[in-house]
Amino acid sequence: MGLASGLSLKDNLALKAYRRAPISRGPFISQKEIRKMSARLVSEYDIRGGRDELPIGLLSGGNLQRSIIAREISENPDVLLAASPTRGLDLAATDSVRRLLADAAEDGLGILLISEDLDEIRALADRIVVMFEGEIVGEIDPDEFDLEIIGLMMAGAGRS
Amino acid sequence: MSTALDAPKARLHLEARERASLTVRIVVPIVSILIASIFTSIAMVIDGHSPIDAFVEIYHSAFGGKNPLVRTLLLSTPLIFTALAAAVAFRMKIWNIGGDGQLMMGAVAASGIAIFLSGAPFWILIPVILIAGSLGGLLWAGVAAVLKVFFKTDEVITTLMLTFIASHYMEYLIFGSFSYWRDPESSTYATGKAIPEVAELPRFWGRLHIGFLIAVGAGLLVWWALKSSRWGYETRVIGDSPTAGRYAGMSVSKNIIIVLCVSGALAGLAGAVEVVGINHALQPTALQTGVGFTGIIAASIARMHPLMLIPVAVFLSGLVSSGTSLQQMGIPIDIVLLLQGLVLLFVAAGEFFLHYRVRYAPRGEVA
Amino acid sequence: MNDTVLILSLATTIAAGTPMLLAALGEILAERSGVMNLGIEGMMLIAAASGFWITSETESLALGMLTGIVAGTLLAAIHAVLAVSLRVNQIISGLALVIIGTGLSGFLGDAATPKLTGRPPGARFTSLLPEALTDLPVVGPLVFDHDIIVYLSWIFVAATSYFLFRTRPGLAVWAVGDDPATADSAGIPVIAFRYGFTLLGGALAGLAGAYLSIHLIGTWQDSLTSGLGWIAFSLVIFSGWRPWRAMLAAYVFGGLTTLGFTFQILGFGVPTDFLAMLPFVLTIVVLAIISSRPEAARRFGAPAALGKSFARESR
Repeated sequence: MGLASGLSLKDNLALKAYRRAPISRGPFISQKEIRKMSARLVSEYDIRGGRDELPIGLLSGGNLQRSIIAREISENPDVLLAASPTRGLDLAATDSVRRLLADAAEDGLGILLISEDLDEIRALADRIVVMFEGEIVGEIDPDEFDLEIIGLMMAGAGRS
Repeated sequence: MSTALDAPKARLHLEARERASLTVRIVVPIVSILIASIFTSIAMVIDGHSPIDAFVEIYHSAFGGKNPLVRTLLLSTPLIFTALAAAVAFRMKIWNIGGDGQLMMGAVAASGIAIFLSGAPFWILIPVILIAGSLGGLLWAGVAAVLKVFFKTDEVITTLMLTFIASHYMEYLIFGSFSYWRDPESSTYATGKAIPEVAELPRFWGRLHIGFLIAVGAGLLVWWALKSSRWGYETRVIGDSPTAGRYAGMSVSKNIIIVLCVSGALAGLAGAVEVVGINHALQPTALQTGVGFTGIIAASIARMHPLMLIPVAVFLSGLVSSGTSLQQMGIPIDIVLLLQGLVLLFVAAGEFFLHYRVRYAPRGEVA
Repeated sequence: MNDTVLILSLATTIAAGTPMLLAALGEILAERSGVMNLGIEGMMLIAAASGFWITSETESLALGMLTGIVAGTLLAAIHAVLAVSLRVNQIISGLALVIIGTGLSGFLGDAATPKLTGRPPGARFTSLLPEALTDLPVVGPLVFDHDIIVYLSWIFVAATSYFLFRTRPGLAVWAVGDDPATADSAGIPVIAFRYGFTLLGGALAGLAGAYLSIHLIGTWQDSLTSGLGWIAFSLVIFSGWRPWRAMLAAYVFGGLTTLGFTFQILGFGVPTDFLAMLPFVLTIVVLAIISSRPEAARRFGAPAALGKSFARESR
């Protein structure tokens, strides 16, 4: 999951940034900088429930996902890989995660969304590609979203 | 048919606790120590001794006055080192139980260098000896590290085996051969060759030598490094989730080797300090006290916290140092061992209650 | 002449290796169910002390042996509660056991009056089989001239092997040690198995300790077991958790010192300290070779879940 469930929220948020300034100073890391970054991400991404020394594993699923998204997006990657990002989350959490992804996409982040949740795909995708048994079997324009056709493709109907 | 969906059949069932409150975290270890003391007292009563007298005597001969304190702190010095060694490794879930062996090889290296460099001045000898000791322990732990990283061999077994190998090797050097380490004039009872007299750790309070200060300093250094260095952070992450560590680009293998080397170096330093501070020669019997295992216990009781383990180590050493006076009261010294073991047992058992609450629910009712 | 010395030493090593074998068998069973018990040394010590004490007091060999078994089992029970129910780190729990066992046994040794030295006459095992058999050349001393405990140990080896490899409950133990979560969903009582086999391990270690102090050594001293428990622990790994191999290894490891003397008599000398190191070096070598090859590691048979606690809700 990319999270160390026994470590605190701020330690987890620093997972990718710890090697660089301003957190890293030579062989040392600055706890102050970690706290600063953590506070910023918590407010930007509305991560709730994390108290300083508490293990992150105690957070709810939605907050966990928002933490991961916060961490990944703040790295300014070129592409973000999101695999089943809202699986197991409640409605509110699902909603907030989808919004975060949509906003990031609008800001120019390329997102590869992998999901079996067709509602999610319809809501978020600019391009839809269907795979079956490891092969790409078709591409759909979101404006022509047809549940039945996609369903058939997912079951292998589009395979040549 | 999932049993998880059934109503709890037991009357008592467990509930995972979010995080134990501060009260619970303090009360549980204290209760554990109390229970351990009660059981030990029972043993004493059965044997016809007065527990009250015994505990009072323990306090007096361990902490009551300058001489007792000096003795206790002297005893605690190697224990602090080995506890640190255990804490560093265990935090990353590297189960280095070979602290004794690393200590012994540290002592071998330290005494060897000391003998080799006889004639050198004190201010060269001491640092060189201490470094040699650390290196000895480091390399010995390094064997286990290499075996784990390149041969995927479990470190619990390898470090344990290496300890016994080191123990026998040490005995070989002194009792089984006329090696460089052996005093050539000791034919009836073999002893180690004395290291140069100038190679002695300065004492600053009665018989207490600076080795104790070095130990405490090491504790502070380890604590600070774990908190504020990149290495400390990586250790924390890998210890909790190697997958997360790899995802962050950390090299788990490199960290395994580093952690084992640091751990071994600390234990080796313990050996060197004993050689230079107390024994002034390679004395196998003095080094086979199992302080490596005791270190693991001290670290456990202190929950692997580098600073907390210092008072725990002093406490445990106090128990041991009161052993001789207890003997004079007619109480076998093993009572102390028993108390130590029981404290560990109940503290470890008590940990459970920090993570789980026990609830009583009448049968059939889903709590 | 050389033949007889060799034969006799081999015969002695069988007896000498028996405590190690018994303790190792017990640990094999416990580890097969996934519980690693580092406290073998402690269990053997407490059994040795208490068994010897009871025999001195009651002049009964049987009572002494029984006491040893009970003592070992009780100590193992502590480990079981800690490691299986309370999910304490099994390494720490095992080490606690060693310390408690050492402390208690030393305490008993000092506190017992009269002092535990010298067993009462008659409190010793004698050869079980008639002289007609024991007098046979070669086979006589090697096979027929042993006491009941040695024969019991052979029966245990066979029984354990049969149980583990050829019975359904035996296979269930494999499952519990390899993948307790799956075993649990298959309805196998993981907790009960782990308790049972840990206690059994304690009983066997207890038997070994009592046999050692009452029969083999005949007196009590601190650290009587002098590392036998640790050698037994290495044995378990070295033998790949297989009873027959453990038997062979026990005799080899146990006989190293005796063999050492024999070698000296026969002309080639090896420093005893290096012989003493050998079990541990061999264990490392074997384990390293096996662990580095995945296929061999799998066939070697280390229980995959060894040392890890099992918690149902973590399924």
